Amino acid sequence: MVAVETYNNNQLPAWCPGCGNFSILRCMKQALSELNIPPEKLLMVSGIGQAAKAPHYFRCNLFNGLHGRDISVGVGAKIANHELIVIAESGDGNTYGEGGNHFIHNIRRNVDIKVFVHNNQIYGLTKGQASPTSDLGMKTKVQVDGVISPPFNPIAVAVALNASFVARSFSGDPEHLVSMMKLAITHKGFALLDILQPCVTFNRVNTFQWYKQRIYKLDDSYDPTNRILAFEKALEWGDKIPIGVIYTNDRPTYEEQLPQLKNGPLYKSPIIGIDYSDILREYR
Amino acid sequence: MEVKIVVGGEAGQGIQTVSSIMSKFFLRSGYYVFVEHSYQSRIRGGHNFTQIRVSTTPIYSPDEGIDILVALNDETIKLHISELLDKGVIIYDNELIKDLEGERFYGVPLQRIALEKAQAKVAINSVACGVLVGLLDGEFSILEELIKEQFKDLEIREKNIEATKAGYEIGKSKNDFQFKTPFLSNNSRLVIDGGSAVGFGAIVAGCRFLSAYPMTPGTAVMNYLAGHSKKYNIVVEQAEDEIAAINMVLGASFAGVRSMVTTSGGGFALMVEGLSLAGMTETPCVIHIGQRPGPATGLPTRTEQAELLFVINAGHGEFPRYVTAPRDVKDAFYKTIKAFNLADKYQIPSIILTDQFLVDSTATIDELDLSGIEINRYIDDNPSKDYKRHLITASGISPRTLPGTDGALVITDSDEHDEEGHITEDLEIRKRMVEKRLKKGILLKEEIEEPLYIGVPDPEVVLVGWGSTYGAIRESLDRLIGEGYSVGLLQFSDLYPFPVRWLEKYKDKRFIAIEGNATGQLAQLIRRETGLNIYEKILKYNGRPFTPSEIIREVKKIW
Repeated sequence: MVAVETYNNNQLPAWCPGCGNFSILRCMKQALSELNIPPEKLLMVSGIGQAAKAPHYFRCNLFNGLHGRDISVGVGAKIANHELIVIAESGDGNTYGEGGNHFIHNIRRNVDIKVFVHNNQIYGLTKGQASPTSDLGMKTKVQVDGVISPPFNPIAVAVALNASFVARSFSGDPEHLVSMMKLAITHKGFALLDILQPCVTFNRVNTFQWYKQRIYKLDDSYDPTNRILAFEKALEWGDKIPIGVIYTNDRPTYEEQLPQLKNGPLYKSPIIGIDYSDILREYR
Repeated sequence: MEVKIVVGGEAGQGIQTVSSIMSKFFLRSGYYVFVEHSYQSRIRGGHNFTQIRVSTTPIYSPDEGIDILVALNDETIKLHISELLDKGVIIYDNELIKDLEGERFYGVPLQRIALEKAQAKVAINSVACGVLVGLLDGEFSILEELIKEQFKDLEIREKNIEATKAGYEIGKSKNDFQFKTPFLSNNSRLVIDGGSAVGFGAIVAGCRFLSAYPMTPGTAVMNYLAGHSKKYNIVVEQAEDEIAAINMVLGASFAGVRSMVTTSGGGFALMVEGLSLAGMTETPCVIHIGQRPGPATGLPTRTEQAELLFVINAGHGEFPRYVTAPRDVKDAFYKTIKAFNLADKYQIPSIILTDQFLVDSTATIDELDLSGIEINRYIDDNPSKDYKRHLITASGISPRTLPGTDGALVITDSDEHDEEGHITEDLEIRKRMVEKRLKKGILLKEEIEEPLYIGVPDPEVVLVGWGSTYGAIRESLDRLIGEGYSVGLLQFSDLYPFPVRWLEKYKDKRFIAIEGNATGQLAQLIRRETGLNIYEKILKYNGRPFTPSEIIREVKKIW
């Protein structure tokens, strides 16, 4: 067993006191520890934003890249070395806004990477503008009369694209969050975990209490393999917000379908001492 | 001895098939060939043509004039008849195109023969190849072998051999033909196109991952690697956009695979933030850019050299990069390998700058020597206990290890970072990191190849070119020297860091810059890097490549 302390490092978080990110960070270490994943075998990729800084605050391999492009970096790394556990961790603006195209197309690919999105429905690092998931009417210093474009629904989009694992959790329920993280990591295929999280500084609407009053856990009677029901669940938002595994399937992963990866990771594929005479013959 | 053959027709008629069979036919008959494709941005219709230039001595470019025009439609005749040289002839379908008279018109019922022998219109390609070989007095057995290699299905193969044979007999019957290319020799030469040369170079260099969004003319390299992906264990992933492509490549490279993207100017514009990320995270990557005319979508299937300054300056912030513009197909092969090696050695992005002309043209080259090629990954498999991805060293190069290695964590960041790779706002560290990254660029200068010089030893005028214009300028140079001109050529291939040692010897010469753009970008770069002004320029920007004949005319005007 890899002890939780194994993940500790000396980096000081740049987050506001009381931020939901602290809880998510603690849960992450807990989940990794319970799954017995040594830091050396874990590759975190992240983009830009307060959430995307999270992987700096625990021991892991890390590529903290550009805004919105972390999933693409993670996919490339997973293709190169599919023995790594690859998790993309960023916020709602990064993943659903700037990185929307990569979110969509990598769900289609079903590369075995995990996407953990800290979804606080607001832009924190740029100081309080609306995010793609901000609710209608939310006033900010940019959306001065309130948001007029309806929010992006990541869960519904993921179900519509037949994502192989779609779940939602809440930073204020560590036990639930750890269990969802573990299910996502152990799932074979692309796994989306949307983590609802209050922003104590900029989001005065979707507070801890706001979430607490609306969230309910899906129980055993819910069948997450039924895509039609999952789509119905995905549309629930407002007075009642479901958390748990919304949808899952076991469609083949991208890597499983590549003959190039059958004999081991691509980075170990020999490149020296190879006979290229058959290529030369093409040109005679 | 030289013959210039042009095959023209609509897109979809199989002009490329004729040119690929005929270029190998001439190769195997002992000749040198240079094949250039001109095509439009469409799948069917329009006007496409290929020039196949054949010679007993080495040739390096297309040239003006036509000895044999193979017209698969009547538009080809209209567009090219004025280029027909003395004694030039036109082969056309006299049952489809009527009312053509005179000694220059060789009517052959191409389509009827195709339908009779092969029951397929598309077999007019085979008939046309047969007619050409018959007229030229070539060896039918060589052509027959090529047709066999072209068609795997036995029944289709037999039918096409019949169609070829029928064409050959008709061609052979015109035994007063002027341009004969009888069998000369067996040789070990190759015919290869620029796109394949980059692709083959990449495979030999150990590239095992390519991600790209299709964009002419960069797509050729994606097709090439995909075509060889199973045998050589290469993963080719078509990205949802160019931004994804470069970021996937950086992820794959970070995790240890030699990786590349291929695109054109517009696609590269989308990748530029990723280029800067490669610079900051010190992640090796190779970017192939096949230039086409811009701005914006420009002329998608034509050629230009207008991305030099863009590519050298692309990316926010300051970081080293290697930029090379291969001068011909052979150089494209070796420079691609060099691009991968330097990317790994200095942990930088390498850019291979070709263009539509180079990517799509096929040339005869001597045997490629693979024995001297060295591949060194510069990866540390046994990192020290306190491994730091961005350790500051005397050379600026930090030891590189891969994520997943026991005992080390590999951390990097798009933000300014400390030696470990963690975000920092310590401004002293920031300063040291900038200096560390730029130091690599100073070392990189030692790897840069000086421009190739050819010509008379102490020339009156030095022509200056870069990249794919080499062939046309070189041929014009040979002819100008033959006419008594005191002239030389400096042709740049490696362009960044900019080579400067040539200055010592040539700085007092009179220069003429020859470039495929409208503003003289190499001349601007030379001024920026050396202070040397080049006042005289021959610039071409109509989307077509230079020919030796037009360079000679323009040089004489300036002289």
